[in-house]
Amino acid sequence: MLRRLAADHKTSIVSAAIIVLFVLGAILAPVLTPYEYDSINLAERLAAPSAEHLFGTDEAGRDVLTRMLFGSRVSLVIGIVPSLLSVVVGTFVGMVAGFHGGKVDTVIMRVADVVMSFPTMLLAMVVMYTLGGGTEDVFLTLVLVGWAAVARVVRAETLKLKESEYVEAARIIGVRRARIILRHILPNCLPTIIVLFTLEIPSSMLTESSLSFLGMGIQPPNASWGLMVSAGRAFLYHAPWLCFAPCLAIMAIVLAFNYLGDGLRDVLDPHLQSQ
Amino acid sequence: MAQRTLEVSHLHTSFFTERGEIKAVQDVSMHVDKGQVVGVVGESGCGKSTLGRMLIGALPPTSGEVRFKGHTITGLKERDFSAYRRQLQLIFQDPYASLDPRMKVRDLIAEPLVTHKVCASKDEVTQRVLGLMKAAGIPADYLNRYPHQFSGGQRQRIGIARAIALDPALIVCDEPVSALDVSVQNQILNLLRELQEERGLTYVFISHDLSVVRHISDRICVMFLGKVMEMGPTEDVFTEARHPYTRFLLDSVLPPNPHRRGQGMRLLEGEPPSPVNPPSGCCFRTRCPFATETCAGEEPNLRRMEPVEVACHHQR
Amino acid sequence: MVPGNPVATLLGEHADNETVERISSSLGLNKPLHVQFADYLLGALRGDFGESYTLGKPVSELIGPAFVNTLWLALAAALVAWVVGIACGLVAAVHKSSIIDRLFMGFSLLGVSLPVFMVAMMLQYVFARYLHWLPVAGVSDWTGYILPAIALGWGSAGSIARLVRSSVIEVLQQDYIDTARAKGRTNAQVLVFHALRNAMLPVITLMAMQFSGLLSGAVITETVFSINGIGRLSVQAIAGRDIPLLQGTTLLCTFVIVMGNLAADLLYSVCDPRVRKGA
Repeated sequence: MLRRLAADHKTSIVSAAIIVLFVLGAILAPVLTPYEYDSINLAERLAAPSAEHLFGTDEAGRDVLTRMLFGSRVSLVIGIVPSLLSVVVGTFVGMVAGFHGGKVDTVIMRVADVVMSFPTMLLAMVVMYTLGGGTEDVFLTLVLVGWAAVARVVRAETLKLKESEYVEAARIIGVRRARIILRHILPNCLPTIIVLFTLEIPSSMLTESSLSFLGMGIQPPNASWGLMVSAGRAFLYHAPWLCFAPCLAIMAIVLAFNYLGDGLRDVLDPHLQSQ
Repeated sequence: MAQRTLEVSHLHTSFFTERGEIKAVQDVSMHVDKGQVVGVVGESGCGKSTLGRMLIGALPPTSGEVRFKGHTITGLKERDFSAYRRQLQLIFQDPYASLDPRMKVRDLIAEPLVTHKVCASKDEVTQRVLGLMKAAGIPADYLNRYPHQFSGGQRQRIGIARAIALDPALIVCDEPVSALDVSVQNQILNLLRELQEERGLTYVFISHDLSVVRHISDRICVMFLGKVMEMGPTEDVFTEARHPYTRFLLDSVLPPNPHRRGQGMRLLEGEPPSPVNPPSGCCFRTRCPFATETCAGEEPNLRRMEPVEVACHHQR
Repeated sequence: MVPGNPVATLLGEHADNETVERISSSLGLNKPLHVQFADYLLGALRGDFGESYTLGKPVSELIGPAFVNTLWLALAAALVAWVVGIACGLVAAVHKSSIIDRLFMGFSLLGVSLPVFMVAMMLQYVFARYLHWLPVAGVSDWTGYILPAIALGWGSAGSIARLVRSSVIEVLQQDYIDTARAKGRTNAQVLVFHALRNAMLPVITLMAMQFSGLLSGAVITETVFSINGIGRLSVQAIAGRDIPLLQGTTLLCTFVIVMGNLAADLLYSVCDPRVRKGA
């Protein structure tokens, strides 16, 4: 599988490499930079990019690159953890709906439709407002917004697999329902689920950065890329690097995950419609 | 008298589609004795696969009754039925679709054993799996392969190994060779016959191909549009087909007999009638060269005409 | 239920309890929850969504003009998305696997991957601040809508282009396309009358779904370009814990989305005779 991915999809490999690079950067942040992410140095406020500060400094004289490295920890965790939770919840709910059918299915899918048809940002904003606004609340918000799309696809897949002949064969042998779901339906949904997970990560990251940009996501003194853009917006014309450096980081990582997801889809799951 | 493995009476089943009700199986009564092979023949869409599913309790009939060794198994709750589940098995038509692509051969064949907890240990499971593979003619070193690494014939052997794993009292073979290359068909048919002789298995053998059924069946049941047209011992049906439909089926598979040239049947015209809107009276009359007004007005019942049973107004 | 007493937020940290109490009762906030809710529903039916805490005006007066601004923005963005999306998708499909195809598809994936605020700020920086071609903010005339519409529409244009491309490629492989060619239709005629028409169905569904996406993006775009629309109003409402205002904007958005979905369903039945017959 990986070999096929490598042969047919050079972009996927490049994307995977970029992602690994970002992850390494996040883990090794303290080693890679001589600065502290919160050490204020008013003498060097808003310094332009230079050899000492590759991406310049911000309004408090903090090194932008350092803050981005530490911010990438938050951004990556926010991309991955809620996506994982969304996928787990969505898979469970989607399988129950698809396999059980009837009223359970109708109720679950109506709720999912409502979540999906409502604008993500507005929904996320209202949820964040209701919950209060810590980092955990960002997680919860992203899961509440993200599970529905996963549930929908997994349900459709489950419905298809439920009618497949090998599931009928398992039933005729006498395999029990829970075991059919676990041993036959789940493994055959797995490629789809992996693709969904890969594509859920960038959308979580985008939503988080937008929320933080509006001041409703990650709160200072934590650094996330969205928050850095938001803070740098005031200095857009004097010190554009404050905005554009984290913007470029978001773009690179989201693009990488999207390309990787597309590549994985082509290899793992040719049936999943590309949108 | 031979032991009755399965007996069904007045089975009906309908599907509801957008175009209307489809009566897939209508008033089918038949029995299967222990160690016997009953062949069910008919064109595609005549309800024979549906019948097969009902025989093993995988599909509930709309009305009618299935008795297994004297016990009624229709209408049982899932829990009560589970005792019979392992006794009634199915070999699928399509060996590509009926094997989970993500399971190894080992797990596929072990599935029935594990499900019904017939083995005490993992070693015993492996031993039984190897035994079944040997019986089905699958080399032992294929244990850890996946279905997609096999040809159609080999896959069907896996399907057979799964079906015989629990020593069922009845196996319904649903067109087990029709998806296979002709060269492989005979190997699989021979395997099924050998297994039947060695293990005293009982089959219901479903096929659209009379020549396939002939060699394996003791009795034959010819179906058309969900109804039984003719039923009886294989040799009697073959040598003295009484129903025009049976004769047509025979003519279409047997090599043309030069001595009968000219008096043989004409080829059937047209498509089979729509199951949503079947013809009045005898459902075969629109394609039958002997159809008369009686055929349009009255539906012929299945009548006993020793040694067979026939549903035709012209056979009295 | 919702943390943060809005009155306390309104009055600041140093307000004494008595004042908080007095204002709460004048706003009806000390009534039981279900009474408040019933009051609200009855009012909403009469077009009265209450009064904004922070702006001191009736919510209906605030969301009306804001909605008009958002509607213009959304329509302009939709126009960008559809025109650019369909054109790019079509061209990419016709030149499948060529440089143009790769370029357009990379461009559209970029549209999907870029945060809206980034696109908005970059456009603002380059075209308004640096080149002085277009206004930096506000919508005093139509030129003010150009940059926000591009910022908002690019993402949708990207996904529409991808979908148009894949469905046109699929349709072009169908037999009836060969029939049309055999009848002597030119390539352009085949593309527009046959391929595009048949490829539009999934695209229409996507457009309906994109509509709620546009509203999402409008929150950001309006904030960056200082447009007084529903999105910006929602952000202000949340920042000021202005519950009546937030309820008003949310209710309005819900209504718009329901209408959008309805419109998509109707459009669908117009485009596909099979849907009409089946229904």
